[in-house]
Amino acid sequence: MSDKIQNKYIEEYKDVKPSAEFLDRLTLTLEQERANKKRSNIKMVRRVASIAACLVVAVAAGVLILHNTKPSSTGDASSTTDSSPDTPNSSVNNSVNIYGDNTAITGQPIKIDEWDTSSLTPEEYADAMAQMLSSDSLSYILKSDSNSFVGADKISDDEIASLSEMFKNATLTDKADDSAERTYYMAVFEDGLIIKLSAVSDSYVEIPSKDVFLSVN
Amino acid sequence: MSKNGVAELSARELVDKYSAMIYRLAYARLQSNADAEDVTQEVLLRYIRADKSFNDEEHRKAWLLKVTVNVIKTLATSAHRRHDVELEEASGVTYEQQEPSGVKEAVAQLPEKYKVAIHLFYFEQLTIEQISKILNKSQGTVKSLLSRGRDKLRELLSEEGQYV
Repeated sequence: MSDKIQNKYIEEYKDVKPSAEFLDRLTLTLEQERANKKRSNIKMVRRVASIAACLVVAVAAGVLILHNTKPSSTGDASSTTDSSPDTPNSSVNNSVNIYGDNTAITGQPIKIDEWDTSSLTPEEYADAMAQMLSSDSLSYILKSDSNSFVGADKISDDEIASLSEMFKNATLTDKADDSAERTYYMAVFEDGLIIKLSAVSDSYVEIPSKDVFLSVN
Repeated sequence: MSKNGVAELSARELVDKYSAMIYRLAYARLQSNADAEDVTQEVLLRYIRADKSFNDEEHRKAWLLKVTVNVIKTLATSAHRRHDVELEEASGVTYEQQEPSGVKEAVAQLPEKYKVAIHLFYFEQLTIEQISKILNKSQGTVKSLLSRGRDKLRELLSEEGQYV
């Protein structure tokens, strides 16, 4: 090929280049993609760790249950039950110990921030919560009159939907009166994340562990 | 931070270093700024998602060019683009009906199969072996593409009395 043609082609194609505006937008998109990738990698590690921890807890709970349900040599079944009243729920308690705020159940607040909300405003947090409650990653929600969920019932899909709606319409407000009557919920997600929340007379929703207090219109 | 000897690039560095290369190759084949931008974005997103290790800059550049060729193929055969091209042809405004005013325009009038090979050879100044790897074709096929492409380019330019 003629060098003259090649030189002319190079010269002409040097003028073919993306606009500065496009490059700025592209840089932003790539930065976001890289950040998302890092976040999903962290989530994956946490998920694997959660599964591993659950397996350990399940095995430990199984051993504990087997041990405690073994008939005593004296044959006094009631004394076995009395000595460990929480045994049937011990595996649940231990699971909760791994994730989230389990203050009400064990009296020992353990908070693991599985859900990274550091970059969200409270309103965005409410939107994110609404989405999470209506997503497939939600396993179930327990409902209770107190901030304790041992033996609490799961709520129906309709109730989950209305709870999600409450967050969709929520706006930031001050904390509701402590003496107000509350309904407490514990949302459990497939990846092990647990979020406790409460609703006050269908007018407020709260996520106490995040200090998020929202008014529902 | 590095990936097996070759430095990991920040988003800005990645854009500064490779976006023009990808954009030009895409433009050479697709002749559309919007399509070239789409290809550039898609290729660099794939780069980040792939999180590959590269031995050196040449390896990284070759990978990006190969992915660019694949993305161009996908876009060139997409229903959306076919629709646009059909509309363009129906309107009677095609490159084939215009006289080339330079080498760039002349290359744009070449049949599709020659454009990428010609661009990689002319502008990126890659060897036949490198082009054959990027296009996933034999060296003989690449030689043939370049030879026939050159002949057609010469024909187009001689009609205009340019560079011959």
